[in-house]
Amino acid sequence: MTVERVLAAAAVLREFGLAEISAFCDEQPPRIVEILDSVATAVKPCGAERWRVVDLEAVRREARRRTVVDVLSRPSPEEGPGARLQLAEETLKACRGEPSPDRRRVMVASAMNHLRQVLAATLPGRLPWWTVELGTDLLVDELRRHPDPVHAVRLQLNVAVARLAEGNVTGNPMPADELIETVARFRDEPLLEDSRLHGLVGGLVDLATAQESPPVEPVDRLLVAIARRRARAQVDRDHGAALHALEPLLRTLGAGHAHPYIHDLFQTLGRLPDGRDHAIVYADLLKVVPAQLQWFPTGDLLPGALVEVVAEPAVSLHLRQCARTLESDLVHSPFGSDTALIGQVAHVFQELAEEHAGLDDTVVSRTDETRSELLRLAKAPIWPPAAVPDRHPQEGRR
Amino acid sequence: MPAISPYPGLEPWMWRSLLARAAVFHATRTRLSQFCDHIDKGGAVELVLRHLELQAREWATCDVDDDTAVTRVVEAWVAQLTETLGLRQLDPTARQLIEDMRDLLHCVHSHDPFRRIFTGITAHASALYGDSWRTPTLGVAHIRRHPRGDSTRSDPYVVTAMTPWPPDIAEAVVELYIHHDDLYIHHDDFGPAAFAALPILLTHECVCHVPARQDRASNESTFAEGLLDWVAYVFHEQWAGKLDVELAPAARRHAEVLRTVLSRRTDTAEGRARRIGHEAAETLRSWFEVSCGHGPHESKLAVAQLGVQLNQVDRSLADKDHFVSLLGWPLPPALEEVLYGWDEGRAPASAVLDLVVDRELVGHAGRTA
Repeated sequence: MTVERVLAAAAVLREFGLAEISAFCDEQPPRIVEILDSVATAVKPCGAERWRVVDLEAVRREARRRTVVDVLSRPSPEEGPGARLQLAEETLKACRGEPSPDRRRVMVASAMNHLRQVLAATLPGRLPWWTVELGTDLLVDELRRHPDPVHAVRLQLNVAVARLAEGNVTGNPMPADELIETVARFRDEPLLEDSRLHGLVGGLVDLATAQESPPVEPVDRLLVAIARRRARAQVDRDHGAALHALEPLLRTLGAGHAHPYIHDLFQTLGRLPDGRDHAIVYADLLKVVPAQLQWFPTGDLLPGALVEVVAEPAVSLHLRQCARTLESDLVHSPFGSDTALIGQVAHVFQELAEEHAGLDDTVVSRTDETRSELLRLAKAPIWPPAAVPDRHPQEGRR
Repeated sequence: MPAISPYPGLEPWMWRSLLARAAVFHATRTRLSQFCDHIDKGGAVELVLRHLELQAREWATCDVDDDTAVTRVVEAWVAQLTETLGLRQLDPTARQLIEDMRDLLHCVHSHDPFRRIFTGITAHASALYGDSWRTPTLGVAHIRRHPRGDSTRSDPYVVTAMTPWPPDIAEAVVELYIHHDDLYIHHDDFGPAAFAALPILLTHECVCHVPARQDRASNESTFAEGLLDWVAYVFHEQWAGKLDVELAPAARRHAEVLRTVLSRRTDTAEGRARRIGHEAAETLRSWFEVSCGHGPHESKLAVAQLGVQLNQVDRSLADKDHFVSLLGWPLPPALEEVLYGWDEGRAPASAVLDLVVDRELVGHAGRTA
């Protein structure tokens, strides 16, 4: 076996020094030299304690001559796809916090490779793993037939999340109709509440809301950032409810280009015959309204961020003042990231609460809750918006 | 003379206590495997190990030099072994083991056992990496919890190692950590199994991390902690006998047991990365056998050589992990093509990464072939 090992090392290294080949085999240097001398026609010296393989086939032949022929076998199959599937899920999850678009792109591709290998082992026909297409109805049908129903849902969620992630990093987001359809497919799934699916449902919500390019105006950026994070946070409380709330959010986000956002945190839409105002307002501002003033929610314009209300004129006045304070602060915001933008708003909320504390002693405590929630939302890792199509961002250009 | 620790991370008494036991384990290294087997069974052999720990602790804080402390610990332990041999109810194999160990204790010395192992490994690893090698410095320190949070009974490997990132351009530090339980004063569970596992731990650091050229370190990397760990095992197998032929059987055996302990931990991201990386390496090895027709040993070394070369390519760890993600059986045709090129000497290892992260091929390495 010793000769075989030395010659195998020579075959791999092709040209080598004595220390190098010594590191590749279990033999001591004097014995290595002896063995190399014994195949002098195939391995020639080419310097001090240096050799070059000149007849590779002869070296291999000689190495094999001393070896019992092994029965070649495929690698032993995994005990199950569990570890690889989990690795794929973790890799996709890690992409959220990866600042480099290029690295994020490579990580998504790695996760998809692992997922394809899991699917190839699961699907009938033993397809080569790299031919498994993730976007086909056939795949969905096959996965539904999996004998373990929770695993079937898990695999389907993985496929959906991977496709969304691929769209995100390549700048080819899933078409809006297909996205809504994908969410709808999981929305009423009874097995969705299984705790093992938590991360995947979170990924689905996160990526689904990251399909659109972010708005440019700071006010609109803030509203979308908060809406996205609240949708993601709802997954921690109730998977099904989070998916039910997702559809209207996606429809609003998807319509963003056709109907640009309002650029205002408070806007009066009209006055009702009874003298009250019909308005839209950034939802968190309602926490600063003194308790004795009346207002009623009438709808969600951007779920989690913008609501429609009917309010007394005094409430409108109060909300308008607070909104203008926030807006003027945001206009001069030096912050590029959504996290910093939300943090900035949380800070202004503290000032607003102190200013209005005299009107109602519950304002401070209610605003404190909002501030804490905003800071939690700001810190939560989230997928960045979809890359711009056909553009390959360079490292460190953010 | 009070103890002086050569390692800033180890308090003097801790150093002295470890030194005394490591000196005993080194002297009895040809019997370490049997020693571990008997400790697992309990009884007299476990008791003599506890006595060794007691003596090491006793002499750790004494006002004598290292040589004297080690000599006194050994004398006390020899006396304990002799007393144990006087027991009438002693299992014959345990009796034989204790007699053998007592005989071996005639040649104990107090050289730094950690540095001795480390120096041997770095000599081989530097030959693998040539100009890419960074000169490493060894540090030894203690940690307050078991590396895997387990009990010493189920996992006696109370040691772990790491190479802080980023290293210097030409130098690196390898930190060896030994678990020390704060509940008991001057006590740790550094036993013969942990001593025998030191070579594979340090080989892993020297093969996988010291010379690595990449943007970051991650315990969850399928390349750095998985495929390259497999490569480290290949080299450990080659080097064990050359490092210390008498320690080699125990070192090889405990390297394998540690591999099993670590690989079965698929409940952690680190364990999963290790397992997937090892599977990827085995897949690649089979590919060299089946597709290139190489012998089993050459195929194993080819994977090791490719791993070593990829480790020197200055590219992101994400790129290297992506390469591992492509190593599912059968290999995609586009990857096969570039691997043939590498095997035939037509393409450098960097070409493997160039191909797999090429924008047109990301995630579709098979379809473009």
